[in-house]
Amino acid sequence: MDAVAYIDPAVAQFVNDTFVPVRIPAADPELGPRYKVKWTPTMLLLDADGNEQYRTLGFYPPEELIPSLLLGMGKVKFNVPDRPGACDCFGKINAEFPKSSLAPEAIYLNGVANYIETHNVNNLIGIYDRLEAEYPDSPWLIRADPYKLLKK
Amino acid sequence: MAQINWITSFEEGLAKARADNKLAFVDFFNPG
Repeated sequence: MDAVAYIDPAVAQFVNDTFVPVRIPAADPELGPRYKVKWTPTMLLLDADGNEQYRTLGFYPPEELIPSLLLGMGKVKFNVPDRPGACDCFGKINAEFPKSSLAPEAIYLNGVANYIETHNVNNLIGIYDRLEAEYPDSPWLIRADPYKLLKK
Repeated sequence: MAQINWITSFEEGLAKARADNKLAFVDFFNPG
């Protein structure tokens, strides 16, 4: 991560602007066990009380790290719930990183968040239609499969 | 060169997260 992702200008700016970046050795005798760190890199989003809100691990290239962190932040907001804020995060993934492996999940979650806000089934139908059109090989299309039955 | 402004104190990081109303992005890494 140090040699590739963290020195990428877009990543550095995004992380500095969006989060408080904290770096801890995985072998830290107190924090490693507390957060059940078994592999590096393990990346967490924590609230100010230290509660884990999102976790991912393994190497990310720059063009995948930002979408991953946007996805995590979107899930945090979804759970607050701050669904408009969540939709902003998911929407940025789809607008700015459409080639990301996380883009199909962002479409799914964006549609779900919009549906919960509006109760408009077109949001669910839209998930299926967009995934079918743009990401037909994604497993997220399988998860959206029931929504095609909502079409009249 | 672009760089992330890492904080290396966990407690300091959480305090800043509270003050800035942000999430903390915590990277558990292997110093090698």
